[in-house]
Amino acid sequence: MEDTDIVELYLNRNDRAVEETKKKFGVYCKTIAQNILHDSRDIEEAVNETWLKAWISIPPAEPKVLSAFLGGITRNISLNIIRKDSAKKRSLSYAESYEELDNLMGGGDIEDEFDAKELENAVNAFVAELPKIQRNVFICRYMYFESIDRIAVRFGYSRGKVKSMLFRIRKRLKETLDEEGLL
Amino acid sequence: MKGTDLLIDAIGKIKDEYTVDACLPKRRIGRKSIKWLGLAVAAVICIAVPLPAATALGMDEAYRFLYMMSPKIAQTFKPVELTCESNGIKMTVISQKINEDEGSFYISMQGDMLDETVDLFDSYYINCPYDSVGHVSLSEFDEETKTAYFVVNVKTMNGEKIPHDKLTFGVRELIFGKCDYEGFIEDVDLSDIPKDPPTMQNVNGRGWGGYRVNDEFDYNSLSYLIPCETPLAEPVDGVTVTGIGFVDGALHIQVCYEDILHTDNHGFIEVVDRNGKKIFSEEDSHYMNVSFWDEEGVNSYDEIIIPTDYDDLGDYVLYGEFLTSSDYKSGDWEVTFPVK
Repeated sequence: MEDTDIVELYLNRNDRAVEETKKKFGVYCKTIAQNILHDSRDIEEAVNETWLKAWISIPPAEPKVLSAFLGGITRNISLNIIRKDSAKKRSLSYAESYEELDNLMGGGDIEDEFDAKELENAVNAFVAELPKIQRNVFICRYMYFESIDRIAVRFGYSRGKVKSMLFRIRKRLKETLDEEGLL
Repeated sequence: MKGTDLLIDAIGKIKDEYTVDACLPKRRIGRKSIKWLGLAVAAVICIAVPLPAATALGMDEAYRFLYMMSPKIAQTFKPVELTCESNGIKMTVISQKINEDEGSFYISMQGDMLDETVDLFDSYYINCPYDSVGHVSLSEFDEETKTAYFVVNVKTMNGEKIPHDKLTFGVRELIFGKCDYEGFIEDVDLSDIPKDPPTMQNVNGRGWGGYRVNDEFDYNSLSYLIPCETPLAEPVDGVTVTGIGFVDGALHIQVCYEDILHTDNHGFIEVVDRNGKKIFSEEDSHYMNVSFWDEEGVNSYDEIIIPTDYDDLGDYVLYGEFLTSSDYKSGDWEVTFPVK
């Protein structure tokens, strides 16, 4: 079923919407949850909550890219699970990605007055300027928390090349955030 | 709120138009599945094979099986070895610092052939009786004694304190003589590129990149340059430009990386103007590269393919960025020490 048809089912409050979503995006959302979480029960919880949240959100939301919309929900729910309970186990690729970004940010806290929206705008502007391949590698690693190995296979690069590429992107992002006064 | 969490949230709000082309995660048989398969095999072996027979496989093998079955028990029986030597390089545990769920361990490696660029080449492993994440970084290099000091950082996955148990750290390969080269490749003249040079097919592909091909890319759908016997350019040791030419309306540039499984030689190559402005690079959507092995499966070729007009190239020059290492040493370095 086409994504637009699935969205139409949600808009018409048709129960089949959730079934069709599970059928088409079940593996996709589970993969995102697995990239962040370690415990199978947490993964299942994140995926199930995704269907509920999608049902509540559409309408009023009318996502143009359903995969990105659902993936974003799964990602947020999975992150919330580990943020609420620091003892929760996290996946290795998430832990590695987190540490890479932590090194970039200097590991410190941000004051309350910090404008998160400003950071969001800066990241979007940075990503918009990135060449397409680098952008996709960056998103695979830090949006979907994919492992270096999987990214290397996906793009046909060696692990070393992926690591070099990510290192250069992080360096540029740090410079950008520095220039914007966000670090 | 921690700055890193805010950054992760900001990345989560990247607009759909930028994320839609990124890879959609796919289900693959990952390490976890392999680990469970290994566990199942180990379980069968341990049940079916008495311990003396298992140890007859060799202590290392017996330890590996036991570690797969129960890391905690395996580490309990692992003898303490604070120092070891292999292939003329000595590894020693120097000191440790434990802070709640994080631990840092200083390890030295000393050998006459080492230099300040020494790298563990992702060949290290950390065995401990709990789920953890870890990484290793070079702390400093003492030129006088030819000693490299590495910091091994370990963090428990569940946030609990690091138990007072034993930890094993091992390394299988070192690379050194690392070089980071960046510059014009003047020896290749882009105003005199052969048209329709001899080509070959049926390469032993090892990967591809770029957006002109999909997941079902067939290596045999393209023709590749036959590597020149005498390289056209050697911008840095271990990297040679082995061909350039126009094939089927596209510019092909072929670069050979020497012995990549031991050197991790890799790089990027692009077409720039004399001011360094990028004309064709991996950042373009129509740029693609195909990597394939030589006949011996030792050296790797990257063939960069850029659809463009022949006449467009005369004013430009190749530009490369390469990371190479000149030497490596394989060995069996492993230390086991109590965490205090």
